[in-house]
Amino acid sequence: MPELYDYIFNEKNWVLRFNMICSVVFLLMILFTVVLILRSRIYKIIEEKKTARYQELLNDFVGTYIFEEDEDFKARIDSFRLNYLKGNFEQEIAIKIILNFAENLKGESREKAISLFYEWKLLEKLRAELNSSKWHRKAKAIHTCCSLQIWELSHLIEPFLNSSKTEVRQQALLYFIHRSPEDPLNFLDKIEFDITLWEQIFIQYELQNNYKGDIPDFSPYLKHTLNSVKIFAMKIIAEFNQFENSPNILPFIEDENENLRQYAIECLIELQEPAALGLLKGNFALETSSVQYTIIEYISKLGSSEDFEDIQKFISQCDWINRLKYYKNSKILTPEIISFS
Amino acid sequence: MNIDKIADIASWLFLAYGLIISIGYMTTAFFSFLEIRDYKRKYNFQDEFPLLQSSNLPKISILAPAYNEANNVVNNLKSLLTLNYPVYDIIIINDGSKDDTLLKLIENFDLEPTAFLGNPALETKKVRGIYNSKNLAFKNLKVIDKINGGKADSLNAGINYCDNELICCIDVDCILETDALLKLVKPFLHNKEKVIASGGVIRVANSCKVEDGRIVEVKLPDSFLARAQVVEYFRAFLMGRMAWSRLDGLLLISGAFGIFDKKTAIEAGGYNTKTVGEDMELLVRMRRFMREKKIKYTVGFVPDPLCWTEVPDKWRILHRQRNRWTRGTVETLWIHRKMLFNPKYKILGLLSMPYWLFFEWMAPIIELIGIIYFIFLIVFDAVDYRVLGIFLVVVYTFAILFSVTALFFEEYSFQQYKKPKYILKLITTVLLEPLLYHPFIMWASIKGNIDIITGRNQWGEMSKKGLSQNTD
Repeated sequence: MPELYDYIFNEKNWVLRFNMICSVVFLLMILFTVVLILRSRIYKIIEEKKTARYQELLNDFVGTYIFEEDEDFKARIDSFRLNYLKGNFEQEIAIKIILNFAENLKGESREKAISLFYEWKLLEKLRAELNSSKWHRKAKAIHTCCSLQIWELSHLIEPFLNSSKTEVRQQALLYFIHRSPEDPLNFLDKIEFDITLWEQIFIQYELQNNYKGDIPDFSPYLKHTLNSVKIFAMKIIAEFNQFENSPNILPFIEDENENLRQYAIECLIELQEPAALGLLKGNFALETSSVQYTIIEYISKLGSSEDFEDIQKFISQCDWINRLKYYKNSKILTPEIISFS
Repeated sequence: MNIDKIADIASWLFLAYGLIISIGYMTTAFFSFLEIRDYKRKYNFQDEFPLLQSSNLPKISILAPAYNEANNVVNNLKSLLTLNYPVYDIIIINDGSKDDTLLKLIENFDLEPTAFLGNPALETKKVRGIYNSKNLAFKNLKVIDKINGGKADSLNAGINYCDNELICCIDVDCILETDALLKLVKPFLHNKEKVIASGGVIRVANSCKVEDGRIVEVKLPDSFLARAQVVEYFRAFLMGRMAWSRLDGLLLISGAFGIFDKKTAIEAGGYNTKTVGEDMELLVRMRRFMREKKIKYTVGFVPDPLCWTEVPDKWRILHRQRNRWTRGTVETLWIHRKMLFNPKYKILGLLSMPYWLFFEWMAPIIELIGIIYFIFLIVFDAVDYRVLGIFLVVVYTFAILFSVTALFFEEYSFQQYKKPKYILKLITTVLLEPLLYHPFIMWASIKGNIDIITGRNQWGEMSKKGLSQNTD
């Protein structure tokens, strides 16, 4: 080694010296990366075994705690915490196991599983994660709070409704839907960022599957300052068949924003509201291609074959997507295909 | 100027190029790592179940061109029909097959001809017929029968006659994971800006165990040639494209599996039938179109292993493929040369296009010049064998380092090759690849350049063994 060092650093040609140094550095980096690969593989194997062992231990303990009556469980819980839940790794597995039990159980058993969460002082861990600077820890912590219905940390979660990190914001939105007993979307008043389609899908899923209260009137959100919230309101009005809101949707078909016009028409199709027919036919010629596409769908579903034929002349010969749409819908509307060159 | 002076200048130029390319590769590795890490963190605790139940997901049309695929088309199509996605349809485009591809489709899926509209948006070879199934179980299947016009032409026909807002272009012989669409559509759901395309990672399926058109066991290919391509795909997808995705400078979504916004694809003019690199050319054109229209947009990329393909396991076939890829790159760079170094196109003009020019297209040419230069030095007896030796060691160690880093990324991210012996095999492949595989690829690229100059611009036949055989 000292000879190699001397050989490299006493070399007078600096290009040669530079190349030699690079070779040695690359070689060391290769060795380091190979060791890293092997370490990562071995670490994963060990971690999987360790995880399985802890999961078994925790499953046994939580199962026994939930389903067995034992007066002296308090001491066992404390002893388990002190012996087995010392580190971050063990605590994370404990949270996962409690989440599993909470998801699969109902009533008193579920409450008992969640009570372990408090007994093991895992709330402190979540509090720390929520205050962490790492976005993925925050998102995961909010997800846990939401799944276990831990409402006492809501003051820490509320500011995340406007987090610049999408994942954190999304988890915060879902948390507040779960939290609300009767007005599940009231958090929408607090948001300043547009909601993505991903968020809309998850919010709707929560409303349809996990929200237990009465479905509220969604029309107030049509007045929201954010267009994405207005669009989402239209979608859920249609999804929940709130026919009484049709008059509130109608003004949007003349809105300046193309997306709003399009979603308003889609909503009216779902609500089977024919009142917009005249206006849409009148506007058709001046509409953008995307809105025309939706109007074709509207007229084919809620108009007559005469209405349908009336708009044909306004479809541009260059607009293939609309020509094809018109052609296909005309086949549904009338048995004989309307001639269309 | 004497020979020593010329040798000095040339050496400096080679050294500078080597340095720049090394820095470029290290930078891509860094950005890829960040992107993979963030992706893993994003999706490690939430399930996709709500997506499956949603009526708000964008509808997708899968476009699969088929040419002489009679042996595999039925099985492949059956596996496509069982993908997990709420609303999608499949359009098989029979590109004038000489075998009984169409007949097999008609018989197996109960197809009947249907009327269709003429004068479509994208010009294609004549469509002879469009078939729908009488069987309700296959109501989301459509078959377009047309005169042979090549892959790009077939995809254009599919774009013309599909109904949904997103198109997913695939090779019919690829194997998709059941949740492939659900994962690949994610960029379209997450972004506030318009997403015009989303690409996925392509994996090597050679030697993998396949049952009912699905990969049931991932195996490392037996042949060195296919294994070298496994390493190459790690580098290309887990390092290269992940990094470009992070920088929003992605120029290529593989033709084997990618989703595009149909309207933008049509407005940009669809696939270019005059190039053999139609996949890269379409994405570049779509991006250029959006930029010129001043519409904010983005392109997504998903690192999950979603699509498996059979790579060439014969040197001759691989040569044809790489020759074609080179010609496709040259053609795309030439067609869109206006974008090069043009600040109007931002990262595309200032970084992505120059990168493809200097490090994708020119790299084999520079290597060839380097070899010629070396011969020149031998002729003039100007070789310093000490310098040569150490230079080769630097190049070799850097090549190994780059590939080993790609292996690490695979290990860190998805770890598809689970058996410990695979790691050792892959490391051996990495050590041999620069010596045995790379020179061949370099030659295929050089030949591609020669072919484009001499006007030989054929697609080239790509015979494959077929994945449905790997069932043992």
